[in-house]
Amino acid sequence: MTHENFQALLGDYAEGILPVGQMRAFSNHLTSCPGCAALADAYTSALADLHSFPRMEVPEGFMLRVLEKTTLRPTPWEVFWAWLGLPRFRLTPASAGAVLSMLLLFLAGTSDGKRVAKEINMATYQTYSNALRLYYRSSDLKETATAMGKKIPGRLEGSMDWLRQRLEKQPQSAPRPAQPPGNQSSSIIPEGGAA
Amino acid sequence: MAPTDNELVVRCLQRDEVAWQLLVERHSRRVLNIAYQFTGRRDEAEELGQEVFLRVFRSLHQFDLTTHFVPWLVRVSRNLCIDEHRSRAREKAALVADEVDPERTQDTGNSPYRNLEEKELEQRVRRGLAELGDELRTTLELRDLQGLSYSEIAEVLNLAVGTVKSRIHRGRLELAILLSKSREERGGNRRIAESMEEEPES
Repeated sequence: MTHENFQALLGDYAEGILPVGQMRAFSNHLTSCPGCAALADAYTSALADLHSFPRMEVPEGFMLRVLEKTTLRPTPWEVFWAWLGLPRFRLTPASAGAVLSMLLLFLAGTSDGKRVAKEINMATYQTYSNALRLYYRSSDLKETATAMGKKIPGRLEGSMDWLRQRLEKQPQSAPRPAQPPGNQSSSIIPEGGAA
Repeated sequence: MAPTDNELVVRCLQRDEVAWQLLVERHSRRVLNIAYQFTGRRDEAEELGQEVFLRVFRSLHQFDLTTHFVPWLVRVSRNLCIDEHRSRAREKAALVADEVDPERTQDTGNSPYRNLEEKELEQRVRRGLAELGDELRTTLELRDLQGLSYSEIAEVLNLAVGTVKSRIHRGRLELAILLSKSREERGGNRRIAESMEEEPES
C-alpha cells in the first residue's frame, strides 16, 4: 500500500467503517511506516477533538420564547374567509348570482323590501325630465304629491326648487299650460315646453 | 409513527400550531449549535437561534417540499449567522475570541478543572478551523460539528457528494496537522512552565 492509498483510507479507518478486506493492508502499512502512523494518530485525535467540541444544550424557556415570536394564530379576517371558503358554502358565480337575486326578490316582498324598492324607484325619478313632468302638472310640489297620493322625497324637492328657479329666470316664451285637475296622474309633456 | 419534517411543514402551512411547536422542538439544538459555532457565546447564540426560527417561520412557504428540510434549515441558519457576522474577518475574530462565556460554568455543572479543559479544547479547535480555508471549514463544520450526512451537506452546499467527501477528508487532514502542531507547542510550553516552576526548588 502506498502513502497516498493509506491517506485515502484514513477517513474510513478513523470512522471505523474501513472494509475488512482493506483493513489488513492498512494495518500493515500503519505498523511499518512511522510517518503514516503519526498522521493516523493526529487524524484520529483531531476527529475526537471535533466530536468532543462543546455542544450547546437548549436553554430552559427557549422554545417558549421562540413560540412567542412566531404565532400561527390566524387573524379574524383569515378565519372569516376560511369559513366562507368551506365546501358547504362555496358557490359558483352563477349560483351566487341566483342566490343574490332570490334575496332581492324576497326583500322586495316584505314591507322593508317595498320601501327599498320605492327608494330605488324614486332615485330614478330624479332626472331632469321627470322633474319637469311633475312641474308641468303643478308648480306646487305638495299639490302634485297630494294628487299622486305619494310623498315627495327631500331629494326630489331639492331638484324641483332648482328647476323652478331656472325656469323663472328664462323668458316666458312658452307659457306653462294649464292642466285639467282630474288629469294629473297622466304624464304629459306639452309640445314646445320650456325645457 | 412520528411525522416527518416535511409533513410537519405542510401542517404548519395549514396553520397547525402543534406542528410548528414540534418542528421547533426537534431542531432547536441543531439551530442553537450552528449559532453557537458563529458566536462562541451561549447568550448570543440563543438570541441568534430565536432570530433563525423567526426567519424560518416567515420563509416556510418558500421551502420546496420535494427536498429535505434539514439541509434547508441549516442553509437558512447559516445564511442568517453569516448576515449577522457581516465580514469574514469578524467571524474569524469570533472563532478565535478568548473571551470567557459567562454561562459556561452555570449550565454544564462540571468542575472548574473540567471546564478549563473544555475551554482549552474549544479554543484549540476554533483556532484550527479558523486557519482552514472557507470551503474546507464549512464542510468540516457541517459534518463533524453539526452531524449532517454527506448527502445533506451536498444539498446545503449545492455540491456533488464526491466533492463533499473529498473536502471533508482534506479538511480533516489539514486540521489534524494544525492541531498536532498546536499540541506540540502546548506540550513544549507546558514543559517549559514546569521546568520554570521546578527551578527555585533545586
